[in-house]
Amino acid sequence: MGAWQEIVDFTFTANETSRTFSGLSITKDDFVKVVFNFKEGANSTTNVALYPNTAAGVSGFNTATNYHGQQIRGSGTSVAAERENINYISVAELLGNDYSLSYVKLSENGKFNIFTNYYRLLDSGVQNRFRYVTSSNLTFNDPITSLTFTASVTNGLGTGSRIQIYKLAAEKVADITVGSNTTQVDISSLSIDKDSEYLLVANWVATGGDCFLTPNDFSTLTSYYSQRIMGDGSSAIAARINQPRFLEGGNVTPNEGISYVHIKLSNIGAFTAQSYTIRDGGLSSLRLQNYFLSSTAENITSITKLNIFAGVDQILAGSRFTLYKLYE
Amino acid sequence: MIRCDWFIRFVGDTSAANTICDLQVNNITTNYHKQQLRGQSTTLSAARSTNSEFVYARSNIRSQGFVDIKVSNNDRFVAQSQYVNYLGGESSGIEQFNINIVNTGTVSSITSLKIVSSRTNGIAVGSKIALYKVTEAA
Repeated sequence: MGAWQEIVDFTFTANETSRTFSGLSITKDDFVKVVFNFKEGANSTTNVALYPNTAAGVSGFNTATNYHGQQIRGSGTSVAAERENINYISVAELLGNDYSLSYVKLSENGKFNIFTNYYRLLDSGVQNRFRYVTSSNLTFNDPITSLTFTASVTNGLGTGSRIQIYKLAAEKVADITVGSNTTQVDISSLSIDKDSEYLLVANWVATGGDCFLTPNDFSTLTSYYSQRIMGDGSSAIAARINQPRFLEGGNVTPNEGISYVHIKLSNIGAFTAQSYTIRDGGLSSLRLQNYFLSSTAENITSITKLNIFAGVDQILAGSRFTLYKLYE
Repeated sequence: MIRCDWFIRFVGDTSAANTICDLQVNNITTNYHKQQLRGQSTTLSAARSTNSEFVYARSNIRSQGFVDIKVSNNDRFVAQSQYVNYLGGESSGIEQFNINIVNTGTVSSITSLKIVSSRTNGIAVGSKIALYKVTEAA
């Protein structure tokens, strides 16, 4: 079995406005990938929203204002950011063809989260967008039983559009739920070498502070650099620090952050990680954050332990960290 | 879907000259469109070009990242590259890139991938590239 198990593969043979895939069972244990090749069916700007549990009847499941989205987009030399009351995963116009790669996660607090990286193809070239969405005002029962793709324009989902949905089926190496507030979580007895890639899904419950990721108890903060891109409302921000920061806590109480982190020991022994985070603070403070970090050291031969640490007792009870071995 | 996991150490002189690498599918050299976001310290910038540049670096640095590669349903080559450059030193530190690439010509399947450095011998000994087939039909 590969790292990803296909659960849906559907190609539209006629233009449609909405398409539901039912009979699914997406639990809080799952991590789901959605590949959406969107061919616009109507010659009008069309947004496509992704809703969970159409059949289960969660009140307001398809009400846009129950979802909050944060976006960063690059178009030519311009950078822009927006925070919106919508859960679109793709936007096309003028019979366009767009492509999006999304990850879907039901977090521990029942929020439905979507991380999307997609492009729009314009006459002037390609435009790329990160769009992260969370169901701030809705909680969903475990499991999610259906996913619905809905176009904002009648028959907007065009013939030839294709939706592929996968569940992560990689080996689960660790799954830790924090029982009481703590400062550090260690994942031990690992055997991460330069050939393999690991995925950490982090559901950090926090009220503030920063969270760090290091290998092998090598926790000298200044031995790492971290660079981030962040969308915070209309602000598109970049920042660099001389620390292995990979998550940022919130300024609301309590804050829920959901993240996925690709961990890789490079061919010369540098520890690297790419972290993608939805930090849910509601419409006033929802943030999209991508942290990329690297060690300054180049002599790490293997990783036997991962250290996740924050300020004193800043990793709150209910936080969950799940580590998968993706590829080797 | 294919995932390309790579580490590249670039070589070159210590002047301001830069090295980029293009990702070419099936020996195709035209019809590429690229859009990137780049975070470097407090500067967030964007750039668009008509090439398939998936990694950019100055001389003598190391670069580590991933590229998700797919042939889309309308026969287009799509690549999403996300990587970190370690530049070294307190002043320069680290930078990150998020790049989307599409080839607007017809690519119905991938039979070859080529990584081409803009500088002669710009890809240093010890660089490593691994390809994984990460999704397939049920």
